[in-house]
Amino acid sequence: MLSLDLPQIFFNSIITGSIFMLAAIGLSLSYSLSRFPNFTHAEYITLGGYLAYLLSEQLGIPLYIAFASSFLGSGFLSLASYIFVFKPLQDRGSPMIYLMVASIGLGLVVRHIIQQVWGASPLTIRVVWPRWTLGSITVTGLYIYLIAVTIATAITLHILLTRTIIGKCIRASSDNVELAFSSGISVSSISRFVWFIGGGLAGLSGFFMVAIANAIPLLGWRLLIPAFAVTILGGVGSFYGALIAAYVIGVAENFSVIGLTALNLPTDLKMMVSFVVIVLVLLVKPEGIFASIGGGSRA
Amino acid sequence: MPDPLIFAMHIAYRIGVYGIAALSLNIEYGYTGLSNFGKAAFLMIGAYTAAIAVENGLHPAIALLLSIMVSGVIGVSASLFALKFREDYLAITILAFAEIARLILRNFDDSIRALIRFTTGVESYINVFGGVHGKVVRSFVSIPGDYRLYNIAQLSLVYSLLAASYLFVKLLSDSPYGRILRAIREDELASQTLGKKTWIYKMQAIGLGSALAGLAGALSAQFEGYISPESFQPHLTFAIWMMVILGGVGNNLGSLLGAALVESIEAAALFVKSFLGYLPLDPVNIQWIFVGASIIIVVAFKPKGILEERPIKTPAVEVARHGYTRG
Amino acid sequence: MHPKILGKRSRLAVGLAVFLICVIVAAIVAGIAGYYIGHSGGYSSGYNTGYNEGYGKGRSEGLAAGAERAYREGYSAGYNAGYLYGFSNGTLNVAKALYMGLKDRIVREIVQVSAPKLPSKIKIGCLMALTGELGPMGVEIAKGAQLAVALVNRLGGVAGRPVELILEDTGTDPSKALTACKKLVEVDGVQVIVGPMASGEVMAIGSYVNERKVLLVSPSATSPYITLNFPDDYVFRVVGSDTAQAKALVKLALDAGCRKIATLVLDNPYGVGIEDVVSSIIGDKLVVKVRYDPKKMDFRTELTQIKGAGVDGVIYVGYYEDGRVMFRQALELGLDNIKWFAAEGVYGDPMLTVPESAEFMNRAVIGTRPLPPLVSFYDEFLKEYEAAFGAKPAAPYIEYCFDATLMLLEAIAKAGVYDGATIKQKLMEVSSSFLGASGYKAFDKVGDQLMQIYSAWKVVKEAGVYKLIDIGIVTP
Repeated sequence: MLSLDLPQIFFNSIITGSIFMLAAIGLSLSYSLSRFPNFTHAEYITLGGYLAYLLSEQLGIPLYIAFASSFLGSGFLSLASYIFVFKPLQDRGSPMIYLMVASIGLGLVVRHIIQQVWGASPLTIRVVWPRWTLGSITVTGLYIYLIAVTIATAITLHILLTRTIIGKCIRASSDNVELAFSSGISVSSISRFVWFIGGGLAGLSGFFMVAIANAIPLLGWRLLIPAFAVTILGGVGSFYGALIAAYVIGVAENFSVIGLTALNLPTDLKMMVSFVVIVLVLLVKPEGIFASIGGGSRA
Repeated sequence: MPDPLIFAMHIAYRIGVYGIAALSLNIEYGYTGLSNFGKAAFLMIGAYTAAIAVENGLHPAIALLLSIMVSGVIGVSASLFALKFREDYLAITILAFAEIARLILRNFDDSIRALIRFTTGVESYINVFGGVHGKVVRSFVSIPGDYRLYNIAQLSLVYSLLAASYLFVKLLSDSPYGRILRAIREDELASQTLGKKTWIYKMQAIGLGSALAGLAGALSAQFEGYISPESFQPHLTFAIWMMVILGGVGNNLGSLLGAALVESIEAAALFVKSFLGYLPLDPVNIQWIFVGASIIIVVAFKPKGILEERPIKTPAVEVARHGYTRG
Repeated sequence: MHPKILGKRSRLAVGLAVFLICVIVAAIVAGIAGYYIGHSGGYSSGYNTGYNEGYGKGRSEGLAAGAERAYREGYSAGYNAGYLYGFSNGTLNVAKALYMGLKDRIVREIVQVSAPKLPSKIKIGCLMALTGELGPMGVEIAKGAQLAVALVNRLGGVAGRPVELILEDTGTDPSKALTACKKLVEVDGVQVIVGPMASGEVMAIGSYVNERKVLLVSPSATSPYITLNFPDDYVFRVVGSDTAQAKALVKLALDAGCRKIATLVLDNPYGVGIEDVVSSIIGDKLVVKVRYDPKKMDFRTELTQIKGAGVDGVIYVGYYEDGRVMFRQALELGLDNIKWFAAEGVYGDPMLTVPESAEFMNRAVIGTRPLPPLVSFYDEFLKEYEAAFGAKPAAPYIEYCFDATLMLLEAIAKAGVYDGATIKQKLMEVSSSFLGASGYKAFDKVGDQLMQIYSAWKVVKEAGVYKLIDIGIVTP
């Protein structure tokens, strides 16, 4: 019989959940502000990862600077895609599905540019992290880094959303765009801000993903599906919802691996967890399970 | 002896198959406004149904019929719950469903074997779907000895079915039924106010669309001779969406045009290499950057696609338009 | 007695009572009789049925057992006889080949052949996955073909004619492989193809190349299903089916004393194929089976499961990209106190570029790869490769691709005409005496390798630098 190393698995879930959270916040906020699911979000993640590789491997620059560049690079990519592609389409009155399809098209363009520049082979960052064992759990410096960043992000965003004017504007716009607009909030400025931050956070999730594993052009897609699951489970536009949902799904994925190995099924079925979550939530409570906890748009 | 015609016929076959697939999406999205982002799964169902049917000795015609029916039925049942969703939630849900179906099909045999082992401890040898190894499919047409003739026969098969599908969809669209579908797309609430049970029409639209997709999947499977779950990923669904949007949403001829365009670009990429050979650019990347950019441009500047939707042409509407000019 | 006492009614009553008593007695007697009759009848009927069934079953099982024993004895007798014959002939052929030397062979058998009917330029097609999941490996393996063609051209070409290698990308997509294959055959006019790499791609184009009589030699497709679906025709492989490699891995594991084994394999035909064979050999010693998707990149929970199951051996099938990640995470989670046995997918210098991966391999991994190091021209191939590309071969199967190309070119030279069917006949002949960079390449009747030996390898650390070395031969 299989014995369960619960502490290690919980720790793995925290790692997975943190990455999902960083990836999903931007998606959730942009989805609620701009009213369409942005498939190009995957490429913000991917670009962040490749920038990390570029700076640390190819240019030999220390990792923490690469970290900043992932954030900025993806942030600017996200902002640019909003300003030059999505906002113009919105202004022309494109229906939601067309925006979605356009985001798929843009994703193709960005992904293949990345593939042209760096090639299709997986690329690894060779930094060696210090390693400690706490009881039965193995912890590396990278994981501490990730958790620290995630906590810092959560706190910053919380303060931003509750204590600042921008935060209030974001919450207002995400709740009811028309009302916010007529109250004098410049929705397009807010949108630009949100898209930039959201994209930057996505870039960070790509950074960590590459540090933990490796960089492939489809890096973003691996995280996009769970990011959608997190967005929908937490409620589109809900920051706190996304926060909780990310860890729920992280736990669910890791625990599903236990079940799958016990039944001798291939473990890549753990992807089904995200899909099943999406379907169930949309069927039962489309606003999201956690939507009542602050934020959340009227879908 | 090398015969370039055979290569051309191969591309033509693919255009035929994807033409049917694009038409099927056109019914769902073009006319009825349903964003079916799970097309690949229905092609997969059609392909595997056909493969299993001929494997068990059924006649190809019956296999085709089965593919159509099974895909249609599964399409209808899978759509039942999704009918009330807003277009983006529908899209995401169906996308999720398609991936779940694909993952299940891929691991089905192993899962059943694992479950049997788990509950009874018996080792069984179930191999229905072939799992990751895929399935070799016997073709429906058999003309031994003359490969050219064989290909011509295959092409006639697919294009006659394409023509039939096209006629069918055209009849559907240029009719009161088509009017209702379009009305549902434009304003579902208004249609309901006028007494139309919109959910029945939506279900029928998805059923028809899925059935056609199943046909396309079956034809593709028996021509290429091999299927595996890896060929039916969301990537395929997106490609078909590109075809419909490029060609013209709501225009059947446009869907065919879109299919021809996308397939030709892909085939052309094989040859562009010989011209671009000395540039450090990979034609595969160029191809997809081109397609992606075209989508954005089309969505931005010509959202109705290359061929716009033609106005409806039912007798009643014609009369309203031109009056009683003909006796 | 007064006659009136037993009146009509009383007579009736008495009669009735007697009647009832008789009925009851009769019923009891009948019941008892019935019981005994039924019992014995049932017994004899049961006995008969049992006898018949037992007889039938015993007979068929006896037949089967007898047949099986006869088969086994006949098989081993036949095998021994065949082995002796093959061995003596093989030794002779190998001696002949070794005596010739690789370049000499090329010059004598390929370049200096007279073949007036060959076209002025010899085309050879190459289908490789240059993008997609197997892209990185495919790019390297294609170099094997490119090297072979360059070498032959340098030495004079096929019967004096230059060789052109036409390379097409399959994108690790069976559908695309078919389109690219048709382009090579119908538009470029090739009659021989080296590749494709992946078993799925081979299966996609198998019926087509058979139909068009185009010769296909794959350097790396190892799925047993290829033999099942395409026996005795135009599809050849220069590498042994994975059945043999799986057996070799199991042998290594059992010899190392492992009693609780886990398999950790890629979820594709390559990995699953090996898992199936391992499972059928060691049955209940296999306690955990894990299949993973290389793109997922996060295997920590899978590794935690393996650790938790208390296994002492892991049979691992992966490629470089996921392999590096897997080994790095395995080192993190402390799985280096378990013995790992890896298939050739993770054999190569790229695995050593990540320090944690190299360290883990050093501590815990022994692998197999198809290659008899003793009897082959591998060293010569290595010299040529390094001269041409300035680096060591960075993937498995490159030397196989090299051999496949050389054999095809020799077959073309000997065939004298550029026609698939004729070249195929010559290929069978050529293979029976061909000794290449990857060893003795004889094909059997169905186009698979006649014999495949595996060499075991591991990673050592010399002066702080990690290196791959071969440590012996494993015969499955």
